[in-house]
Amino acid sequence: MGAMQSAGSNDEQGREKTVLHVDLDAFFASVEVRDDPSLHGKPVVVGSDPRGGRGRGVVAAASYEARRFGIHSAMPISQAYRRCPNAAFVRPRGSVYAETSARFMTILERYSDLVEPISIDEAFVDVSDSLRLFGSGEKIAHEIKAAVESEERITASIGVAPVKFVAKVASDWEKPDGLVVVTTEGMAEFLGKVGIERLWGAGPRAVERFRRLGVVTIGDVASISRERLEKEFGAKTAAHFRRLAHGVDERTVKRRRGRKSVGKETTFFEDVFDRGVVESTLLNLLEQVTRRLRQKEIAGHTVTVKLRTADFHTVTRQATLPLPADTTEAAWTTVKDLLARADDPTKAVRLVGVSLSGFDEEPQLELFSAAKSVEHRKLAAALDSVTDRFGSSAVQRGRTRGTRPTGQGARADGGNDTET
Amino acid sequence: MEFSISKNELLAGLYLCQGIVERRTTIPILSNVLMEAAGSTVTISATDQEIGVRRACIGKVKTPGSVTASARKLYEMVREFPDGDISISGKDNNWIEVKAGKGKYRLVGLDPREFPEMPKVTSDGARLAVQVSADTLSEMLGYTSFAISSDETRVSLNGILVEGTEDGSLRIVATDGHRLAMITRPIEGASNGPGAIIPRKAVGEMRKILESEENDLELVVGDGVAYVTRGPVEMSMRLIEGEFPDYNQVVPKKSPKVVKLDAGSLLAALRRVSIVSSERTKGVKLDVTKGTLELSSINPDVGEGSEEIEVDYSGGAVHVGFNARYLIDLLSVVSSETQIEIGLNDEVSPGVVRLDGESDYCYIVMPMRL
Repeated sequence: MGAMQSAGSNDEQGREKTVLHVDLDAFFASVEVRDDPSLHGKPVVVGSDPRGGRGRGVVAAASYEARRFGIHSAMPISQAYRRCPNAAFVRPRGSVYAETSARFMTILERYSDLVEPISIDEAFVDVSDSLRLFGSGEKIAHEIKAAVESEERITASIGVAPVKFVAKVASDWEKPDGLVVVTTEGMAEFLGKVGIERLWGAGPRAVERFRRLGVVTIGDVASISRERLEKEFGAKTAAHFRRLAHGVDERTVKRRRGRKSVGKETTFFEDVFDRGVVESTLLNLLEQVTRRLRQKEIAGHTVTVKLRTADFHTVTRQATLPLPADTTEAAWTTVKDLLARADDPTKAVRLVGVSLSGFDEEPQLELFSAAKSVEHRKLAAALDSVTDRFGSSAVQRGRTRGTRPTGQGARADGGNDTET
Repeated sequence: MEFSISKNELLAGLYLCQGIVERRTTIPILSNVLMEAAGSTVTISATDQEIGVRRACIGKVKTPGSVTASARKLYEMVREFPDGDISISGKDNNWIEVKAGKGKYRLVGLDPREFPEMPKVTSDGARLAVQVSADTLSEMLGYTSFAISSDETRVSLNGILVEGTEDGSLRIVATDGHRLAMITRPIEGASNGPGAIIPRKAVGEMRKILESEENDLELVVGDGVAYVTRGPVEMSMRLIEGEFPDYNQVVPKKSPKVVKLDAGSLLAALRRVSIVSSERTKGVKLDVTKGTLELSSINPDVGEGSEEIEVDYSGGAVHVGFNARYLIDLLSVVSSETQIEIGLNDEVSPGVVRLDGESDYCYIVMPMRL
């Protein structure tokens, strides 16, 4: 065999890395069980309304009890119903998941500043530089599991390994509530047990080809000659597979780009009871926020609404938008919902604020949002150009017009920036 | 139950089952193939309850009946047998005995009565029923299926849209939300109607059938289920329930700036330039000026590179970024001599790739901010 780089991935100083892949178990379903203990131990299916088996739409998540009936996410809800009509079918509560996810990520950030969220319920954490402070990767993994369980009352499965790819496979290995530690020395043995379909980058066709070569586990790939592998997959793919099979994965854990947000908040001169005023003030603030986003040419995935009542009680509510927003139209419905959730109508309001965060790191433009938002953009561009020339009071949406006179209690300056 | 069958016939049946059987399943029988012997036919089937495939293989049936056995083990075994006849018989407790040449094997089986039903086209009728030549369908799938989304959160994009059009054509559309491929071909029997979304896995299995069997392929789309037959093979599949996005709204009416060049030279240059682009986004910049297309990429971690290609273009300068992989996906399935046209507008408008002589194909790619 030719010279193959030794397993693991090392930093510039040649030190071995310790990477955790943390994956929440049956996330949406677990959150539902947490919030409704009567669901405990039952098959729980989060998704659209099954309508007695005639419902359209799909399963968003299934509890492990439901998975025993062969129900899995992305399956048509009607089929899930056929498989287990007695399951608890619950509608998804996206904003609750987003809030739980945000808190989950902050738990991870206690142990390392190298946290790379992969999706709402999983993340890579590079703890190589935290070992002296917190102990071994295994110890950190135990602590994370305990923190997630005690603070969020859901469970996580964690894989600990010297490279991302192996950590990810390991986290899935003893799911749910699993913890699998793979050391550099144990990597070959571990990969010898893992089915070839888990190989990163091997689609169904590649798996089929591997089968024809008699490859059953990822470890088996290492026993196929380089020539044979190149003949089957081409040089580049073959090299990729060979590296992985030897436990080599150069991908590093990339920090989530700084948690930046752009926001505006305003304190009313006098506490306000009139919810119409609160709402139109918020609309006005959102308008200023999205205008700033457009100037910066960024769009935010996450909307946060902040509300402080006269008794100085502060509530924030957060939601994730389906597509990143840089227009008022794209975010307003969500902002209104968040306001309704944060609001206690028996109390007077002292301060409101709104911010957008989670700026899209994807430089790739979306096909279908483009067509839909083109009208919004045209309107926004027209408003921006008038505002640029005549100042921010020159044009206001019908809703915000006349909501800022001091008699109504709002500050005339349009609020404070809360950019972070 | 007992039958004998030639290695090639049996292998052809087992081969089609390999992609269907589930690898990690909570229902053990889904890992098995069902073999039903009757008359002069041995029908071999597999299902994952979403897709079912069945091949009628020619065999000599001594005693009719059915057995099941591990699809993977049986395939691996039969592949290694010498050419010639293989005999299979059912034993007590659902075991089967396999004999070939001087070899004798016994495999564990499961009760064939437990084998699940295939998805069926219900009698309330077909929404679309067409007969299409394998070449035509292969080409249509080849030009589109690479654009299928693998993002499981966008379920309705995890397959191809198949629909009949008003003028008697069959249309196939695939998109992942960043690019969209659409092809239309006149097909006898096609008529206007609601489309069906065939899931990615079924598309892959359909392509397998197109490669390995003979005759035209018949496609019937019913309510929630589609059905394909070709020669001795039948395949049925559950359709994705959900709304396919309105592709008409994203097909640009016209692109003001059209660049013409050959597929091969663009592919070769893209492959080279994208080596230095970011692994994840594969961003490559296209700068078009009169007669020239410059491709370039910069990645602070790796380096930078650029390539110039002579093109047929006389309009004003355009600068736009694309994910190189999206362009390479298409260019890899067309022959290198093919003349292509890339319609551009500005750095935020979709690029539209058309193939010379293929007025009924278009590939729309959203740019990338670079």
